[in-house]
Amino acid sequence: MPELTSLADAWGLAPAVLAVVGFGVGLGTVFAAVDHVVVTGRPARGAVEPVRGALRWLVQQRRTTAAPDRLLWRIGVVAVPVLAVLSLAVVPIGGRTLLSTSADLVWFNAMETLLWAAVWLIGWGPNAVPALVGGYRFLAQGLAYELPLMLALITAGLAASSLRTTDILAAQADLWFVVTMPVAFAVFLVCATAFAFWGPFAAPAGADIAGGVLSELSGVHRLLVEAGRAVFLGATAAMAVTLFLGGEAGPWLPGPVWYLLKIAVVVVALVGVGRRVPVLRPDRFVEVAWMVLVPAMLVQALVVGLLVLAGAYR
Amino acid sequence: MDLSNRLRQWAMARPRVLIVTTAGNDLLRWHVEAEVARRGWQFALSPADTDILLTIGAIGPELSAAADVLWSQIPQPRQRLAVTGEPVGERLEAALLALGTSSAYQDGDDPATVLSRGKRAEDLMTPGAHGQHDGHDMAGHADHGATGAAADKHAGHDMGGHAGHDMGGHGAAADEHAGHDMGGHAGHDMGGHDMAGHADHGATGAAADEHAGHDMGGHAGHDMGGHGAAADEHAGHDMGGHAGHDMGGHGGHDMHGGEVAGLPMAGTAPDRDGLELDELKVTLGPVLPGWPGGLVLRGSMQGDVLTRVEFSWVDDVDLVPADPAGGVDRRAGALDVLTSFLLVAGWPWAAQQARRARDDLVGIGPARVDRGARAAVVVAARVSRSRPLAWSVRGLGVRGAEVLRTPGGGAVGDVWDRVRRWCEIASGAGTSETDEELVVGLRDLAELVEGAELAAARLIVASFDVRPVPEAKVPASAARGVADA
Amino acid sequence: MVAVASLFVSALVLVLGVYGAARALSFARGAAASLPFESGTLPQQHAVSRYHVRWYAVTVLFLAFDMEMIFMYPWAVVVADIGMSAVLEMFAFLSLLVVGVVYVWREGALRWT
Repeated sequence: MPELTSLADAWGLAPAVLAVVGFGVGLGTVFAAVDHVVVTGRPARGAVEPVRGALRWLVQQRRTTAAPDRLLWRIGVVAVPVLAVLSLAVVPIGGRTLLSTSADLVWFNAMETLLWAAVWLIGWGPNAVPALVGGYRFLAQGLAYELPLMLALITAGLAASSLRTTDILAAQADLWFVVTMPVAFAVFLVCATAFAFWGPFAAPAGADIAGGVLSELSGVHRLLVEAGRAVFLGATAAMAVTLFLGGEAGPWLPGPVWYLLKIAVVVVALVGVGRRVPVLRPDRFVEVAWMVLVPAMLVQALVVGLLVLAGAYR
Repeated sequence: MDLSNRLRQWAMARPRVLIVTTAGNDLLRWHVEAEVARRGWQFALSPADTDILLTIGAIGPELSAAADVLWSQIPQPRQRLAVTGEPVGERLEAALLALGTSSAYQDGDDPATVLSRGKRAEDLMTPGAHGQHDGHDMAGHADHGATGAAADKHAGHDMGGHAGHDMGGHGAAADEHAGHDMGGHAGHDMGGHDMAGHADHGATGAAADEHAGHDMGGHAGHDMGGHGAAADEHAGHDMGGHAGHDMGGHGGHDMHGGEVAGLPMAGTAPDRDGLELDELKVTLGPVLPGWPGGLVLRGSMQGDVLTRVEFSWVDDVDLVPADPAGGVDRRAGALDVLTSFLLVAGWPWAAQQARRARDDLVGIGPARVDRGARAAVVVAARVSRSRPLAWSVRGLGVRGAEVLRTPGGGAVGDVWDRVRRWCEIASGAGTSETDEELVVGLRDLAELVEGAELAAARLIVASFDVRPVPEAKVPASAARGVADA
Repeated sequence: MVAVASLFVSALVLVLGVYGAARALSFARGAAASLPFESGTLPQQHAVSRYHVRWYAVTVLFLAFDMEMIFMYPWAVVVADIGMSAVLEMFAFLSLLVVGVVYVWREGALRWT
C-alpha cells in the first residue's frame, strides 16, 4: 500500500510537525471566531475578537490562590493545549497523518481521555470551591460521554477494517461513512463537545459555579486552557470530516479545498446548534447517555458489522 | 506611545466587568448593564476574569467589604469604579482609559492580609458571635475593610511561636514546612494578647499596616496562626496529604485541628443518608453572577449537596425601598429575572437576548420600547418552548406540601413552572395581579434549597424574584428569615 | 515515534512561547496571590476535601464497559476476515453487558439527584 507514508516521510520531519501545529492553531482560531460571531451576533468583528481576547489574556496577570496545589494545577493547565495538539497527530493534512500506525483511532481516543485528568486537576489545583465542583462535574460528564464516543470511533474503524486514519479515508472513496452511520456521526460530535466541556456540555465551567474549572484562571493560564479547548473542538471537526464525511473527497474542487470547506461547515453547524441549547446537566445527561446513546451506538455498530460482512465497504 | 503599549490598549479595549450591587438599585443596574453591553464589553463570571470592578448604587459596609475582597482577587490590569448615577457612559470610558495607565498596576494585598482584615471586620460586625475574645478591643481596626488599595506590609505575620504545636497526627502530610504553617492551635486561648497597641493604625485603609502579629486571639476557628505561610509560595504544597485527617467535629467552626495558610481543613458531619462525610463550609453571594445582589447563602457542602442552608441579606434590609422597580414595566422585571435564570441555566445566548429586550423596554423612545416588546415575546416563546431546558430544570424546587403533576411530567410550582410564568409576564400575557408563586421569603427559600445540589440550588434561587420585601408582604413563615439578616 | 516526540516537544515549545509572550506583554510582575473566589466572602476552610461523589456506582458500571472497549478495538479490525462468528460473539457479549446496564438503570443508579 503506497499511500501509507506518513506526513513526516512525505514532507520531512520539521515541516510536517510545524504544519500540524499550525493547522491546530488555525483550527482553534476558526472555531473561536465562529463561536464569537454566533454568540454576539456581530459578524464584522468575528475574526478579530478571538485575537484580541488572546492578547488580553497575555497582558493580564497570572494568579495563584491561597495554598493551591501548584504543581498539579500547572500540569492540568499545560496539558489541555498539549493534548489538543497531540490529538492532531492522527488528523490528516493533505491526505496524510503525522502519526500513521495501526491504532490511530486509539491515539485520538487516548489524548481525549487524558483530558479527564487534566480538567480535574485544573479544578482541584486552585483550592477553591467552584473549581472543585467543576472538576467533579467533568468526571461525572466523562462517565456519560466516553463510551458513546469510543463506540463511534470503533464503528468507523469497523467499516474500514482498520484503525488507521488514512485507511478509513480510503475506505470512503465510494461512499461516505455518514451515509451508513449517521448515528455514529452525530454521537461523535455530541461527545466531542462534551469532552471539550463546551456549549450544552459546559457544566464543568458553568456560570452557576462562576466558571467552574476556569473560575480561578487568569492571564496566560486561562489563555492556554481556552485555546486548548478551541483546538480540541477544531480537531474534532477535522476528525469528523475524516471519519464520516470522506475527508478530501469531492467533485470539481481540489481536495484540500473540500477538506477545509467541510471542516468549516461542521464547525458552523456545531457552534450554531451548540450555542442554541442550554446546558444539559451532567447528572441528568448520564442517564440519557447510558440508556439512549450507548444502545443506539450498539445498534449502529451491529448494522455496520453486518454491512461489513455483506461486503458493503469493499 | 510605543507599539507594545498600543497593543496592550487594543487588547484591553473590550474589558470584562464584574458588578457589585444590591436589590433596590435595579434601574441603575439595568442602565449600566445596557451601557456595558452596548460597548461590546462582557460580564465576568469571577474576579479572575475581571478587568473592571463596578459598584452600582449606594452599598453598605458589608457589601463594600465584599467588594474589597473581590478587588484583592482581580489580576492586573484592573480598575475599580463606583457608579451612583449619571453620567454612566463617561465613567465607563474613563475606567477603560485608566486600564492602560499605571494605576491599573498597583499591587494589592496578599491573601493573608485580606483574610486577617476581613475576619477582624467580620468580628466587629457580628459582636458576640465568637464569644471567646471578649475584652479584645479591636475598634481601631474598624476601617480596615474600607479600601482595597492599601499596600499593607506586615513585617511578620509569622506566628512561628506556635509552631511548637506539632500536628503529629498528620504524619502522612510530609510537610517540610511544618515549622511555619501547621500551627495547630487547638483550643489555644490567645486572650492575653494585647491588641491595644494597634488600636489606631487601621484608621485609614491606605496606611502601611505593620503590626507583627495578626493574631486574632483564641476565638474558635478563626485563629490566624497560619498566616506566615499564607504569603509564602509553599503554603499549600501538600494539601492533598492533609485531606485524609479527621477533624473530628461537627460544624468545623469550632474545630481547629490544624490550619494551613490561615484556614482550617474541612470537618466532617453526617450527610443526608447518615454517612459521616467531609463537610465544607461554603458561602454563595453577596456577589455572584446570576444571583440576587446582596443575598447571602451560608451552608455546608457534602459533595455538591448543600445542607444547613441559611439565607440573609448583607447590610441593612431597611436600606432597600419596598418596591424598587416601582412604576416600571413588569415585563422588564420579568426579563431581568429570566436573564439571570438563563445565565445560571447555562444558556448565555438566550440570556443575552433577554437582557437586550429588557434594555430596550426601559430605553428611551417609543420605537425602542416597541422593539423591546417584540424581542421580549420572541425570547419568552423560545425559552418556554425549549425542551432541553424543560428537561434540565423540571421537578426542581417544588413548592407546597402536595405535589401536583403537570401533563409535561413536571410538577406544579417547580422551577420550570415558574420560568414559564416569567415568560408569560415578559411577553405581556401575564395577569396583572401579583404572582404569589414567584415571590419567596428567605426561610421558605432555605427549605427549598436544603439538600439540593449546588446546580439545582442555583436554579431554584434564580427562578424566584428574591428581594428584601417588607414583612407585611411576605408570608408569615418567611418573615423571620428576613429578620435573621 | 520520532514524529510524535517532535510534536510533543513542539507543543511544549509553543506553550513556553505563550508564557514568554505573556511575560513580554504584561506589566504585572509575577502572579497575583489571591484568596479563592467565594462570592466576595472570605473562605472559611480549604476547599480541597474528600468530595462525596454520589455517582460512584456509575464509575463501576463504566469500568466494566470500558474494559470491554479494549477488546472491541482489535475486534473491529478482524471482523471482515473472521466473518459472522466475530459479530455474533461480540454482540452476545455486549448484550450481556447491556443487561447489566439495564439492571443498574432499574436500580436507579444512573440518577443520583
